[in-house]
Amino acid sequence: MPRSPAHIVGGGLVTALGRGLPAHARALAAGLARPAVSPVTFMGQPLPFHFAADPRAEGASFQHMIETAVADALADAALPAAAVVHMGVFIGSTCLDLPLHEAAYAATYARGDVPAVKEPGYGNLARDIAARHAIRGPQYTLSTACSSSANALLYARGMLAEGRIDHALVIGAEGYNRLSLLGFAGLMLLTRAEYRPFDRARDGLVLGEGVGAMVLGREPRAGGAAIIGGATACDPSSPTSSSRERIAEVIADALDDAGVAPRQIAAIKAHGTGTPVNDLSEGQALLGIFGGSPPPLTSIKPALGHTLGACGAIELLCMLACWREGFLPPTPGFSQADAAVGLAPETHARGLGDGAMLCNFIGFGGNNTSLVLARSAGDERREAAPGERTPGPAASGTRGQA
Amino acid sequence: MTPLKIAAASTVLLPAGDAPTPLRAALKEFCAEPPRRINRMTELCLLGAHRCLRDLRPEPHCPLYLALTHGCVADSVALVQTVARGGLPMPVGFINLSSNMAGFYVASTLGIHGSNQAVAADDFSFECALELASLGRERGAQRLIGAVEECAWPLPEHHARLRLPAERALSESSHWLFVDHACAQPLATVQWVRRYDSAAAALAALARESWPDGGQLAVGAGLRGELGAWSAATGLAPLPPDDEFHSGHWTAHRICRFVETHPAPGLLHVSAGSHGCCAVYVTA
Repeated sequence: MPRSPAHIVGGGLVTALGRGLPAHARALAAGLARPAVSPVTFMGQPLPFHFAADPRAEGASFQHMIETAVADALADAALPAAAVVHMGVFIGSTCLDLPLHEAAYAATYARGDVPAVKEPGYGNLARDIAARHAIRGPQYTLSTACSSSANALLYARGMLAEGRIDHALVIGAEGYNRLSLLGFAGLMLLTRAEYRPFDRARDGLVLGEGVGAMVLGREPRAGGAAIIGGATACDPSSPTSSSRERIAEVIADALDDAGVAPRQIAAIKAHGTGTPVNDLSEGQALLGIFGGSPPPLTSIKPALGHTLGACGAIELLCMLACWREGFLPPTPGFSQADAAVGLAPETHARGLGDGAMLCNFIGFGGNNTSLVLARSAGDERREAAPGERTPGPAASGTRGQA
Repeated sequence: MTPLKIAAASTVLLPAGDAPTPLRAALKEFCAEPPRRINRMTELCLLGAHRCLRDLRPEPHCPLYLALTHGCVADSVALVQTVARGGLPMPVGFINLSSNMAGFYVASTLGIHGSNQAVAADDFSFECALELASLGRERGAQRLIGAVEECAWPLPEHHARLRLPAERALSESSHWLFVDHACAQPLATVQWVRRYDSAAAALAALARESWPDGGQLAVGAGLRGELGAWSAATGLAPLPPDDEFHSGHWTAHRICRFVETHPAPGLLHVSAGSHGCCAVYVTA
């Protein structure tokens, strides 16, 4: 496939940090993690969760999040109606419409008159979104665990590059549901203390919900960015973790696809789940690629929660939001480097200039995806104007090899 | 799109009876050591994929595209019910619910580590898988493409779930194609997948095409009443509709069956859905 950037020409974002890219840049610059307490308990303890909406209105909240993020992305892109009609719709999600099924069944099962999971269809969300916005282009729902929407972005780029579509609406969507929360709790993957990726004392994650929607096209826009490369592969050795070798292969393939050497990477957004095994594999893979002086690194999951299949679109938009303001956000919760991992993420926002950014996404089923993001040529906001306020101080934090 | 040269194909279509058809014995015919603690969706995937490949061994980077309609509906139902009643999901059951897990086990048993995608679309899941598989982004010459669908028992609930009349026969399926562009004598070639805004636009465009003598035409559920008109417009011989069972993967079934048996020089398959019309053309 010819190297061809997929330009991000519109974005919409709804998470626990708020609505819209500027709100996310402000919140991420602060480097805080403030999960709420969910109504779900495990072994007598309430489970934390990053809610984007009121958990008492589960199904409705999920649909509202999707609708808000998609509407914002389409408004931001401001495409002519004729272009919207023919755009492709790509959704990446792990839960798909499970929050709706769960809420519906919970409300009615006691009567015994409704089968669980009515009208199942993995393509239902995409169909409904397309119908609401009168989009008649092709629809693709990709569900590959935590790399789902990263893969949606990757394949949308492929369809754009080969001229099969002119624009793509790519959505990462994950909504609060009890099944996912209890499933992760049962796997003992939720932290008992604090979400702290790459930290020596890391012990798991906190889940979150949210929707990231972006419009991709072949033409750049000022203030935008582009996905210039990517790769995905399956590590078939374990259903719940990936080896450093396979993660490194995918990173190398993504850099090769982008035509970017490791030294040209200005920053890394790690997947950084905060689990002992995955952070170790990812850290060692990154050291294998970048050697002893890796670029600045961050994991923003402690601020957002791990949004599972949506994290590809959500975290890419978050990084874009921060990059527009000239900074790399810190990793909340990190304080002590782990010598076995060999990497330390940023603890304070730091200045971020030109170059490319590597973004990793790692999922169950050995599904590993890396994307390479770059600022668009002609970006009017690449350099902050004199006196312009930026939410992220260009201060130095810990960085690089531990 | 780059035509897909098909080196192997397989169709598995299981009428749904009062209880699920045991798959383990059949699976062991093709996969010597099937993984333990897998769900029915994965069993169906393994059966179809290994039956398709038999003695062929794909290259390590061979990507896998799995088309899904309802996905892991049986486990979804069971786990939603468990949680609603205050129970906890079992860890293995929860992990297996992930849509890419069936593809993971296929990759694991075949020793492949390329892209592993689970893809769905409201009406055109298999067509989507063909489209993604034909993108030039994958390395290597091979691709493994499947379309799998399971039922959830008891069937009366599943009928209600799918809004089908109780007398409608249901089925499970696992249809697979193995693409190998280096294959010297492909069984068939998927020449293209094309999208149209509407059935009328598709008919107008496809009626202008030249089709081989003796070529066949099949239509999906949205066009069954128009098979005669389509046949007349294209000059292609109509295949009778597959009405015996309900299936979300008739497109995959017809195409994989055509590749297995290649009864005609070409097959045009056209489906209509909520967002337009999709045509696939396969030649022997």
